[in-house]
Amino acid sequence: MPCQIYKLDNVDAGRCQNIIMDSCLVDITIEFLAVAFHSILYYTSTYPESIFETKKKYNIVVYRSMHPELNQYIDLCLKSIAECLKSGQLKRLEFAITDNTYKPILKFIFDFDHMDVYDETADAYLIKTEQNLRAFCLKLATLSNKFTNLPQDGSFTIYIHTNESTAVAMASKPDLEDFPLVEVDDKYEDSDKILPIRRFSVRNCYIDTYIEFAK
Amino acid sequence: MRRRDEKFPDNGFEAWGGYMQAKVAKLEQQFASGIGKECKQTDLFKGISIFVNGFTTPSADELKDLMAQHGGVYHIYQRSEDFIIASNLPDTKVKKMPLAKVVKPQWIIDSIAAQRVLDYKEYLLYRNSKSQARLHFNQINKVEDQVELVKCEKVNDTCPYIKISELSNDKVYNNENSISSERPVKSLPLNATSKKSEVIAKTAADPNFISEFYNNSRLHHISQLGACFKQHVNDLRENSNFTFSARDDLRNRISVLNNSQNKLTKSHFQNGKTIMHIDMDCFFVSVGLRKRPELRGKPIAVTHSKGGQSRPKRSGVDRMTEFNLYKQKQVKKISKASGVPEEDVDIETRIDNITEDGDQFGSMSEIASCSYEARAKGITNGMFMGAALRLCSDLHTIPYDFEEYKEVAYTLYNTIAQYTLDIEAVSCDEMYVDCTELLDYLKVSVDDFATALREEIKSKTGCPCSTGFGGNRLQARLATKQAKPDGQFFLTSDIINSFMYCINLKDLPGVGRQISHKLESLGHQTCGSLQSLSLTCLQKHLGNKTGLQLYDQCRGHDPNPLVYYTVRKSVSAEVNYGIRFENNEQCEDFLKQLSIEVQSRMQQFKVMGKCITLKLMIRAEKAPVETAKFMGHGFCDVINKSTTLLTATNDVHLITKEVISICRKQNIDPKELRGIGIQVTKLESINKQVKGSINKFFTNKTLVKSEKYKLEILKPKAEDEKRDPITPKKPNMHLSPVKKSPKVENMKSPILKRKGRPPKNGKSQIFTSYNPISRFLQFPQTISDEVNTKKEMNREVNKPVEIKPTPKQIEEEQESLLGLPWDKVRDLLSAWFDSGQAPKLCDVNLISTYMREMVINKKIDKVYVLVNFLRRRIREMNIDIWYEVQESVIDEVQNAMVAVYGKKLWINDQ
Repeated sequence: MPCQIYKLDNVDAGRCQNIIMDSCLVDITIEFLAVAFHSILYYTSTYPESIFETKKKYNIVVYRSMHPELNQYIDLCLKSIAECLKSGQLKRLEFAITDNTYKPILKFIFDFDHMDVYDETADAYLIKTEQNLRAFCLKLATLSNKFTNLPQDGSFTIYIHTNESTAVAMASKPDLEDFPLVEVDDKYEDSDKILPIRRFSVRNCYIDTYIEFAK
Repeated sequence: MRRRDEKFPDNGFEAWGGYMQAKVAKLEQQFASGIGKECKQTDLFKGISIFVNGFTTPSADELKDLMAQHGGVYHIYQRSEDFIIASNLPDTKVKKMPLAKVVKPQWIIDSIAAQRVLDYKEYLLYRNSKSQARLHFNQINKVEDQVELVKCEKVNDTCPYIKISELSNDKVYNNENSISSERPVKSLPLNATSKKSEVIAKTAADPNFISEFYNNSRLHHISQLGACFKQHVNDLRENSNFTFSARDDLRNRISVLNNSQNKLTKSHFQNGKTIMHIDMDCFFVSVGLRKRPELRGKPIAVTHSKGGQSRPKRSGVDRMTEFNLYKQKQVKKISKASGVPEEDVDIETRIDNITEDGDQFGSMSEIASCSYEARAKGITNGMFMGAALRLCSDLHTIPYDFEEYKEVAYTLYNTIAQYTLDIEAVSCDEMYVDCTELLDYLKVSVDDFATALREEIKSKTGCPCSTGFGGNRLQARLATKQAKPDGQFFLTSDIINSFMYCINLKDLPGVGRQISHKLESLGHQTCGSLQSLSLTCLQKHLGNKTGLQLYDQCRGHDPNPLVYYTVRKSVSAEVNYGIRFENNEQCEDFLKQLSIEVQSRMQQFKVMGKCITLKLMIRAEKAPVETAKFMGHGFCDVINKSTTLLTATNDVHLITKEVISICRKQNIDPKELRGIGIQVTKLESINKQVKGSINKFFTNKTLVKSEKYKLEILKPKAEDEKRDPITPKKPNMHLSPVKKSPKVENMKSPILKRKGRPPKNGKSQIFTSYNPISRFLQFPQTISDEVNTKKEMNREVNKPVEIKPTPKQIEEEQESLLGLPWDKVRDLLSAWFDSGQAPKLCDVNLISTYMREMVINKKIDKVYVLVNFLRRRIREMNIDIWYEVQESVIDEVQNAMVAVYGKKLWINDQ
């Protein structure tokens, strides 16, 4: 049974600020996350290089998996993430590269943050946004030399940080029913180093990206 | 002749009816006596007479000999019943004579060779003649008809074969015989064929069309019968005192039947109810077989067509184009339903195996019912005759016999009604019966009861039936399916789950082609697999109502109780056969007639209606002008337009006026019309129908006058009572506001409301209709909006909470560097390093504060750049004091990192 794992940020639940994203923005973000996930899988060599094909995105070359099951899994995850983004309750997304016991070794963190001051007219054509997304991809490529010592038989897990009401609401959505979320019971807090990738804005939303390394 | 008679008043032939008659008679006599001399070989052509016209091979003389040898008659002068044998006819002759029976001489030769009379239609010299029998209208006066009848009976006696082939010619409406049994005039006079063929095909423009149409339309009869029995049950219930004396009889019979068997095997059904579904086995066929015992055990189909005979091809028919249009439409529907791209949808339609018009397998007559022998060969109800013949070439067809159906159906209903009136009529041969109370009374097992009941029905009607029992109507119905043919099945509560597991989704009532395609695309074909889907998931794919229904159905649940009283919701009349108008006058005349038909039906059901809908079927642009099915409607676009009247009516003039005005507004070429229907909805009954004793009291005792008076008073009440429960329609602008009940508005659930069209009413309503949860969910947003307006405060308030450990430091910070972008700071750092001075504490603090602030603002990517820059430059300088600076700055950064992120920044030590 494929599943996703989510974390509850109960501390934040009460005052968690809604990140308002219109559906267009959600689409852009999801598309970006898809590109990011595939790229991460490529650069961390979680899967053999042969399952990736090159695609052009944001005017640069990105790598995309051709493996149908992997793609399906990622797509299903993204569907839940989109749902979560729409409700404005996605605080953080973790894309963890794990070893064969599903213990995270590398975590790619995407923090979503609402912009307090935002000029609606700024970046109306999303040019800046595209540049930001491209910058992330390029930056990721430059960091690939840091992804050493990763196990051969690694895997990956996607974590969603959200509050309980959203998790419950999502569980009851018929769309996502066959791909339920699983709450993380024990938190691995053994990473100690952060490698920033980039902080950028997509319209009225900040996306903070960095990597956490396990000890 | 007369003239000549005048000129030659006395020629000696008067006794023979004139010279010619005498001559003809003599020639025939000579022919007949000549036969004796020839060796007469067979009676092959008995009853067939021919007339040879023009040059033929073999020659006229040879043909004459052949006819003589094989029992036929050769006429030297043409008679009306003759087949005309010709190989080649000049234009003038063609124009003069009807071509229906002009046959090539090869027919005679081949028939002799085959030792049987072949179908002459294969040998027609001119195949484009309109030889098909039409609906014929009773315009010929009776005297003439009777004379004809005598004649044709004679002819029929002598040539049985030809009669049959004549019938076969009568493709569309060959059931005239059976319908008009009280009118013998219509028994297909053989010699009238030529007369008929001269008549242009009758269309809806003909004044008698509607009555003729309804006399022959099987769909009309079937639906009429269904409605009729619903009414019958209503009437029975109304007039009954609910005592059933026949029950004891039945009990006795059962006890006699099953003395030895254990009576106490009690079947338990779900919900403690016992619902019986009773259905006659291929009703039309078994009724038809009552009169045709010789056909039992053979594949039989009830249809208008006789099948197997090809007809001359009509010009302008382009079946392929039309079928493709149908198919495209179907595919579009399915791909829309199942989400599969259109190119990938591969469907089987019933038009798949139909060939071109005129072909042997080209019949598009629908099979209404077929026997189990035919079903075994793959024939199904609703299949076209052409396709069916392909599957089973020896398929026997029998015509409809609506009077018989009615009789058998009445027997069936009355048999059941002897015992209980908890009956829901479905159609003429199918009903649901709630047997719970009856069985309690009888104290017999369900099995015995079913056996006895089925035996009684079989002995009374001569037709087999099947019964299914279950705890609700769905189960009963599925059980019947299992019981067929001629059997009984009990879906008791202990087997229901395993039984439902194997049921095909297609077999569920209400699951048609589209839904089943959709479910298939989801990967479900049986109820069992569908049970794995959750309710919300089903509802998402199929909509709330259908989803819920299917969710229940696939588990064998059916919340709908039996309905004993049926309330009519609409009255309509529709004709989509034979609609071919030349001009608007004809069209409007027809609308008038159809209105009369509707009105008479409304009177029959004692209702008046408010809403009048006109349905027009118009030939689709791409469809060929000549339809695939003779006089059918072909591929059409359908337009529905309706008007609502202020008060209910059943006035024919008003209906006609409305209908014609709608029709005019559409501005349609009458030639393109293929079907017209009038429907009246929003019905109110003419006399206030209070069920029960009061109603009986009124109907029995009150005078007509007083009733009328009453009617006027009570009408508005009746309106209000009726409308609300039956027709929750969307609010119509024409309705006066008083009549809109405010209740409806309140009852709508907020969730439903959100899904549909946004309400037109003001904002306040939206707010009140939202439930508390959604308001709660909105709450944070509104707050954040408020906060947005005072951004400065917001930052002050929000940030310290996020960063717990360092609220004070922020307040203490020096502001000098804070406004600068990070690359400016890098330049600044660069300048600082290049200055060659020893670093001052305040500068270090400044940088540290800046870095910390950057971390707090989560700009760690820039911090990372700055830290790396700092480290590189300091390493290049390689001065101890700068290392201390570096350490202190990095410490500050890491502190902030731990505070904000819980982790340190990854700083490469190499």
